[in-house]
Amino acid sequence: MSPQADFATFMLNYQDMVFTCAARLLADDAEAEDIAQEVFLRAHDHFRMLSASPTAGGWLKTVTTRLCLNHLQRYRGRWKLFSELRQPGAEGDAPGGAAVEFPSPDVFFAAMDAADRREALERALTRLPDRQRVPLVLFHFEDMSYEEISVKLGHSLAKVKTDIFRARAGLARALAPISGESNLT
Amino acid sequence: MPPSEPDPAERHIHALLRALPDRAAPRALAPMVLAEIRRLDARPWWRRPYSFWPPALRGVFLLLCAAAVGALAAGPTRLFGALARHSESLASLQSLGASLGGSVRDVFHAIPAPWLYGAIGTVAACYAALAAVTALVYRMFFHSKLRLSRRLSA
Repeated sequence: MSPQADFATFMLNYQDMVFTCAARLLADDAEAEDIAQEVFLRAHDHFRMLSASPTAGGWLKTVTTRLCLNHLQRYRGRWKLFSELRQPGAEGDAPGGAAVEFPSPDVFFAAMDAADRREALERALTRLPDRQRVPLVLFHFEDMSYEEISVKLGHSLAKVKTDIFRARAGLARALAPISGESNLT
Repeated sequence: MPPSEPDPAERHIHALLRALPDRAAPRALAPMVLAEIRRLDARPWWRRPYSFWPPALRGVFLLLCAAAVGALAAGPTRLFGALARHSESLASLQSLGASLGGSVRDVFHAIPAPWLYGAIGTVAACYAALAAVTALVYRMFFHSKLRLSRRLSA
């Protein structure tokens, strides 16, 4: 098999993972596609090493996460003035950090099929503000600890914990109309 | 998620999120990447990153860099002075540059300080006003439409 065909196979094996990771961090499919393209171009430069490495998936995830965070901090941060002036009380903010209880996953979406469940959760994730969604994704999907996230994002540990807590509460509120109010509070 | 985490809310949301399957990448992604790789591979060597240059050219480039660093370390003034000693035209150019620099310095010193601060303040105010007007126009005419279309597509 030619190196080009090898790389095409490699890309097909990992493209969903890379795209999903970027889409969850950025909450924007078009931007996630651009980031995924950049990740695979970098992977192509290191393909000799990656093709023989059992940790290629980890390498791709690390690069994807780093590019997404750079994108959020550098590019999207510049446009905050234009698009996110209304920060306090924005969607997903829980004033006072009101406690939200989650039922077990078995009960949570009892009335929904798998596709609806997936779509509802993905949509709810997308609607969280960046400052809550990013630490939540890093914690739950990328298995980072609070401390690692704090270092990675340059925020205090307390802020990271608060943001993740508010993100969970925001998810619960967003999903409440779907799964039934009685299940959530 | 740390295994010792006792909070049930965290456990439940973790289980819900981790049960999500990967999303399918857009069909255009792989062809787009492969086309970009082909385009990048078709570039001549001088438009590629240094690590992709032929080894002989990399060596020549290193030598040239070393020579440039050496020239810089020797001091541009000394170099220019040595050249000026051998050339009348270079000496006159040097004196012309020095007199121009002196004139600019004199004009700058002649401007009263309040005028200077006023000019800097005016430029800063114009910049801030431009940013504010641009943000206002963007939010009025573009961002609201974007949010509406996102809400409709959701």
